[in-house]
Amino acid sequence: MNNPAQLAEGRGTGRSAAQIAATIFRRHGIIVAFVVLVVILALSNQFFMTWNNWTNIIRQTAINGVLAVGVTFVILAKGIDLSVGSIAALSGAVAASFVVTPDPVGIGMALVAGIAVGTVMGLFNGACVAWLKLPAFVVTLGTLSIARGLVYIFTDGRPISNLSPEFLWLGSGYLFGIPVPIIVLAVVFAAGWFTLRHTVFGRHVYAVGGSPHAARTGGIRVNRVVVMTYMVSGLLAGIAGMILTARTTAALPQAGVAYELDAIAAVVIGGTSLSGGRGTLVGTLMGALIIGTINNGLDLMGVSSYYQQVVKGLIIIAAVSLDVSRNR
Amino acid sequence: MKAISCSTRSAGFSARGGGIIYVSHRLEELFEIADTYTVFRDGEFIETGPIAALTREELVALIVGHELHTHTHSERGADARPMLEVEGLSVRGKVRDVSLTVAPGEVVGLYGLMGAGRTEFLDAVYGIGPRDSGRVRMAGRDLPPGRPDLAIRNRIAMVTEDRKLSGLVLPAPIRHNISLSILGRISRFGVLRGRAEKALSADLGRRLRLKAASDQMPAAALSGGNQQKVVIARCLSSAPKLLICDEPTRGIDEGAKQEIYTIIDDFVAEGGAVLMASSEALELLQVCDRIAVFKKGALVRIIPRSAANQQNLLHEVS
Repeated sequence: MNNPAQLAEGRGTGRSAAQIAATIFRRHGIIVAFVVLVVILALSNQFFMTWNNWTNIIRQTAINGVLAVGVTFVILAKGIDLSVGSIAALSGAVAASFVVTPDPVGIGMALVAGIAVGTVMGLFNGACVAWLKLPAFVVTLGTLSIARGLVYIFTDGRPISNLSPEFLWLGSGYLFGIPVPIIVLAVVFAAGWFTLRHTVFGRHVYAVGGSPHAARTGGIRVNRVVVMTYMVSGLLAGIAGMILTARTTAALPQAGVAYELDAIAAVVIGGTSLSGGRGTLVGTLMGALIIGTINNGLDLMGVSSYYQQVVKGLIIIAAVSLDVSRNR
Repeated sequence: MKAISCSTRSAGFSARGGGIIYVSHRLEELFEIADTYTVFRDGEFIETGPIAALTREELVALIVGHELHTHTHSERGADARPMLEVEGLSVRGKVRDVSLTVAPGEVVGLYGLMGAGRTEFLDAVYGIGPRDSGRVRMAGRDLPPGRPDLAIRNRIAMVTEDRKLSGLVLPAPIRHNISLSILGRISRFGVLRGRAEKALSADLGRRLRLKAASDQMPAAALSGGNQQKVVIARCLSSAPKLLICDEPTRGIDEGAKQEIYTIIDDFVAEGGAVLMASSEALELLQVCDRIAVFKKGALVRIIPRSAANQQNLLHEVS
């Protein structure tokens, strides 16, 4: 029998600098990668380190960050959600329809409707996955198409514009001198972090992702937890969709196309295991920042958006291979 | 605690003049093939001698390092009101019309060959496996099928057959595994009370003599015996009255096995009831008051411990 106490002790003595560096990289590799990226970009472009540019990066990260927080819940519970980009567009369009000037219904109704639409779409995903036992990949791929189709039906394929100033404030306004989207991201992140770390639901998410069988044996209503993770993801997609609509000052039928890829990439780059049960929201936030910084940096360097997609894809594959090697 | 038993000789090979040093904690094997035994414990040489000179119990005592306490509670709970009542339970293709009761203070064993339906029966009683017909009543209350959460609420807990698959959340810390079933009780408005959880984990870890550097280590890092203790700690956390154990000592060493028997014994001494499946007849004979023999999905006979021995158990299943 291995005595773990002795093992731990053995590990604590006589560690070389290389081992310590390796440990730091394994635990905080994401931060190291981020710093390296920032240094490279700062050296290669004089505009990169300006205040304006950073506000821009974080503002762009806000939407992806909010989506990625939701997707983190789903992936931690061993699922996947490909539908968040389409759900965001649908929520944004529905919310926008309540605030069209000259006679808007009201921003309160718009927010409630946008969040409700997202949550209901998440409930649909969760119900298909948990109760009908359909594969999450296929279900959410279907919802990606369904929600996008609903956007076109709802908007008749045309932008919904002339939105009320209160609504546009969500995208371009400031609160205490900080851009509103950044505040929204901060609140969503803090709430998600607290939920995963300090609540019964958060613990259930980790348990279900770590071992659905053991979670069930331990008395956890696994299906319920799974459904709730998709609802969280849908709800946050709704919030992201409204910020997106406000930022672009109109609900565009093609809004948020392929946003799910950046969100999933942020989660995976942030170290959350695609096999579930392991990962943190801090990692996800770092992952979202890295993607935002890469996008921004490539823009500044004049790399075409076609190449940007190639680069991002390579980074996702590299991140997944790291996850796989960690599991071995 | 490290226990190794070495022995020399195996039929064909040694007949040709070869010698074998055989290292195992599977005692049956040793009695079958060995001529002499040598016991090591905690890295030290303990004793050597001819294997014919001692009994299985004496060998176990040498390996474990202390006398085995023998169970004195013969025929416990024989006339108490049953705690668990199972009536006509069937699982399609696996279990046929099984009725069984377990009284407080009683250990009922399930014995049978592989595929005899023991695991399916236990899973159906607890609710993690399907149940096609039959009733399960705990302390007079009906339990619906497929609801392990309600089984736990009705004071049942289960140690499943495969601890790595269905017993533990392997990547999660030991502490989180222990508190898994009672998160509702150590939280307020859905927010966990960290101190209550820490105390719970420390208390159960001490009671079960769990060996781990810290309860923040992932359960995956523990040895088999200690992993099983974490599973049992999770079970005991909800203060159950009935403990269902499916092969509770599979793949763990002799020392941890004996500790688990002691835990079961203490649990029963405090008025708990145990329903336990095992494919080791000796284990059931050591621990149980009654042994229910399963054959091809049916319960063929219940033998009281006083009348049970390895021969008649084997006779019943084959």
